Amino acid sequence: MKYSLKWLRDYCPANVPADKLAQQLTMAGLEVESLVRVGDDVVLDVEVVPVRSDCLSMVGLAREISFLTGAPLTLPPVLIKEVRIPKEFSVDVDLVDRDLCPRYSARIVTDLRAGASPPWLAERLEAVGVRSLNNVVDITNFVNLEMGQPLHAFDLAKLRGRKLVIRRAAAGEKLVLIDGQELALSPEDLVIADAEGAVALAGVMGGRDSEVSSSTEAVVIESAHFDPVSVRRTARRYGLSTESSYRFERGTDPTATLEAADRAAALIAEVAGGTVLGPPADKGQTEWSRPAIVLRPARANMLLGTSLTGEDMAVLLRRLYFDVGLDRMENLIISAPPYRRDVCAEIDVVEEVGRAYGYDDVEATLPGGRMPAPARVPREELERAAREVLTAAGFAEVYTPSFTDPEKLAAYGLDAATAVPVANPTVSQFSHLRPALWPALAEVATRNGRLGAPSVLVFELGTVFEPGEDGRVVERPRLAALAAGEAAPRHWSRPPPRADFFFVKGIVEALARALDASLTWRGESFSLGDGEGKYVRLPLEPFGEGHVVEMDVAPLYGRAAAPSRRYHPISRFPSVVRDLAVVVDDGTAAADVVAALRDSSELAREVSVFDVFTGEGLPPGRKSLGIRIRYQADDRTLTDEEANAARQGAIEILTERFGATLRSQ
Amino acid sequence: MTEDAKKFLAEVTALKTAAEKAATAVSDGKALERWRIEFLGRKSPLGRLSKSLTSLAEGDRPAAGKALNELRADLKAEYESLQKRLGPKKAGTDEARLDYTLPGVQPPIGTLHPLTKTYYEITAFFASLGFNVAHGPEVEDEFHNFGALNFPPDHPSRDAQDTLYVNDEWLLRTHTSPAQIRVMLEQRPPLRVIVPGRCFRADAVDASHYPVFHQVEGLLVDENVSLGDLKGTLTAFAEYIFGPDTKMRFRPHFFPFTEPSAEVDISCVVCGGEGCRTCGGKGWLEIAGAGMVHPNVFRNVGYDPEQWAGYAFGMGVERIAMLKYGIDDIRLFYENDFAFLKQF
Repeated sequence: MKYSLKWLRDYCPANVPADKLAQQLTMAGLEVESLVRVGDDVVLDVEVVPVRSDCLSMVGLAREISFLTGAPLTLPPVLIKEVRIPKEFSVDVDLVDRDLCPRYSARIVTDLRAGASPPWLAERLEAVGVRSLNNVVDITNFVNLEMGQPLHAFDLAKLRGRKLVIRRAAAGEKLVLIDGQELALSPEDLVIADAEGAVALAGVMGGRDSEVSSSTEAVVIESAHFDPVSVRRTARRYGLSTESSYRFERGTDPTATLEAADRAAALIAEVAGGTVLGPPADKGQTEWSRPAIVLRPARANMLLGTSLTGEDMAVLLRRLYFDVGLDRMENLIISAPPYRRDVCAEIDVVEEVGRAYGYDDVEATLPGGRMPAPARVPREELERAAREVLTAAGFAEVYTPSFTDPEKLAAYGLDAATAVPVANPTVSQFSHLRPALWPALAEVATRNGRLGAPSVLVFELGTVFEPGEDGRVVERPRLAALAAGEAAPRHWSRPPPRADFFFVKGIVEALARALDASLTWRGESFSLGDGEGKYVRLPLEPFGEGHVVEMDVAPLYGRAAAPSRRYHPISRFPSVVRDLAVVVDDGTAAADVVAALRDSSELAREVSVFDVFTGEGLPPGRKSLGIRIRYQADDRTLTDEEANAARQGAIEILTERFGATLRSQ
Repeated sequence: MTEDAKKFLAEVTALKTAAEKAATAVSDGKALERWRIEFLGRKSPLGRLSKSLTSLAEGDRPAAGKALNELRADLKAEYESLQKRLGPKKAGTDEARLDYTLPGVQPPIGTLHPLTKTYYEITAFFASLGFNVAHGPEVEDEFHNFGALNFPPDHPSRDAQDTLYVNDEWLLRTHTSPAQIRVMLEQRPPLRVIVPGRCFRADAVDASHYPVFHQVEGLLVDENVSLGDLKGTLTAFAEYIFGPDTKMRFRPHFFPFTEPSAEVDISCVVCGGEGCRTCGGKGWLEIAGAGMVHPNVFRNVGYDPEQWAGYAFGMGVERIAMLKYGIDDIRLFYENDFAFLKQF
């Protein structure tokens, strides 16, 4: 909210430079976001937190300034010269729905001349960004800004039946607002109606047909206390937010309605030359009291980290207009002023003591007390392990948004029906939750490729989403890695390797080793430990193609934290290497051959494929695998004969299991 | 020596001469390979000669074999010297004239995202104070995201949250605070946890807003915990992350789930408090929201607010990273340009 320093000084003539004052307000929880000098005035823009509605007025902020600077607070005078209401001007106020409007006060001013406002009034309003309309409306706005009590002026002549009924709207009841918008009302809306229908949307906006105009001669000034939730719901229902609804939503002072109506009536009489009629209408609850709150000084000191006496606290609170008494236990018995609707419980008073004392003066200490036992966090450990493997392989970590849209998904061959839609997206490209990480990685690759990167190696750890049962959303933490273009940094002395399937598969294998997890491939899918993953080859500009592996990581969480790995004593005896070139059917999985060889002898320590080929010299439908086996014993040097025998045994197993033949024979 | 043997030795000599002659004409890798196949390949005369060795008279075999072995060694040596001559064709690698200033072969060096690096720094600090890490779901319900955190229904305090909804029941968490609730529902005090994670707001995209962002939430619950402890913790944190000269201040603020509440500012990392463009002339930069856990939050999770006290804080990882590295646009974190990523 904007505040004029000149206007504030009407109530608290603090002799403090504006920037010093801004600093003090900020440190009291009323953050001054900007400070602009306009002529001989200074306009402060203050962020008022939702529970401090008492500060949404000049008087409210002046009260804080008075506390902070010690300068006296002068409240605006209310000098009413009222004339008894003649019959022809009486208005019958019928407060029907007291739950939504606990109090409704109103004043009538007659014989006025609606017209331009005097300069002092227009100046005050315009200083804080409110446009001057006419003297009557300007006064209602002025008093709202001055006291924080929203007011509304009805043209008395336009109230049919001389009646104001505060009631819930009928379903579909029509109301044309001051801004010209026509509403079909909900029965949950509170309206002010005359004898024939709604004339105002309570606490939000007045109706066009009863609006004050240049021909207005008499007005009814409404000063009510509306239920905050009701006003908020109604305002939101129609997408409205007004100076009035903003204050009512945050809570107004129910004890101030009549005073505000009187202040406005007196000022209207002053600037528009009218006569204030009396007595005022004042329906609903007119007596309000505040609960007594017990403040235990020891408790306050414990929570704040201060060592104030009860008397110190009482002094601070009294300066903020709290009633403070003492009970026999030396506890303070507190009653907050009526406008401090945020202070209802002991903790609220503790905060107020802290705020008044100054957070800056609270001594900074490190927490003592008991320390909980450190716990392993499998997810954190897995993520760290994965990041180590990927960065060591040259991959850059990326963060992409969790959102996508159906068009993008379709472009990558994914079905939008598998993605969870966001009910209220702000941007159309962010309409759904991502069902996979890799499409965004592909975009990152293309973006960097177009910027000239010859190589893109990127990975992301993130959550993907899929629709679950009963409107639930299933979250899957994933790891995805994408490689495109060159697979290693360039050097002028040698051609770079290209990223391909085997390159990204190598990443998965490295993860399997790091996590001590099993890895099995079935076509383009794989299982890494208990997690499932997939290889995707995709067309990717400007590289031609990209290679992705994406896998669930939640099933792997335990692996990084508590590896099952055990030390195997190192053999001190040399190993013997034997090569095999075996010819098997094309459909035979190399992994099966390798596994069979690994199991073929307890001496077989390492089995690796060093060559694969098909075509020339081989029968159709067959391929040749060049395999190297390293044999080693823990307790002796292997002889050539032992190695040859093991090799022979391996050949027999391959012949039997896979119909393999040796190539060089 | 038989005629056969003499013929054999003559062939060896001829082959050596032919090979040497042919070697002078080898000028590139392809020619070298042709030379290798011709003189050292499986079907080369050398192979034929070694097979014919067995057909010689037994007495001649040692001499012939020795000649043949020498020839094989010579040819191999020739091949290697040719390789050496032809191989390092590129300038600067000739050992004698090596240009030591040429760039080396870069090992593949990956990078962690700056948000990860920042998060790890934050974690390291709090781990040293005994905080454990906990996680919570990104899709939350009303109870955990709002209700249990003492956000009244239909209250303006919800406006600041700009919530993205999945449907009537489920929403995308607007902060990591719901995980506080989950932790407290599962564990008993004393508690020290930090909760990292991705959060969501219905924000438009600009230099300082993005619909996705990351928070680290902290929670400490024990028998005697004060606002002073919170100040001390976050002061030490600010000095750890931003350097020992960093000043910190607590401004009273409002959050539904803490009371007293504060916004936490540090002295501007650019101007040190003088006032500059980064801090908007204020000299201070906001880095966190914090406060003492509200008694209603304790009640909502079944803790007795008379027995327990606690503090909580939440900070934006993007915000900390931006201040730490001097990044002025939040979108850079999600665009992932290498020119950006490779700086960290």
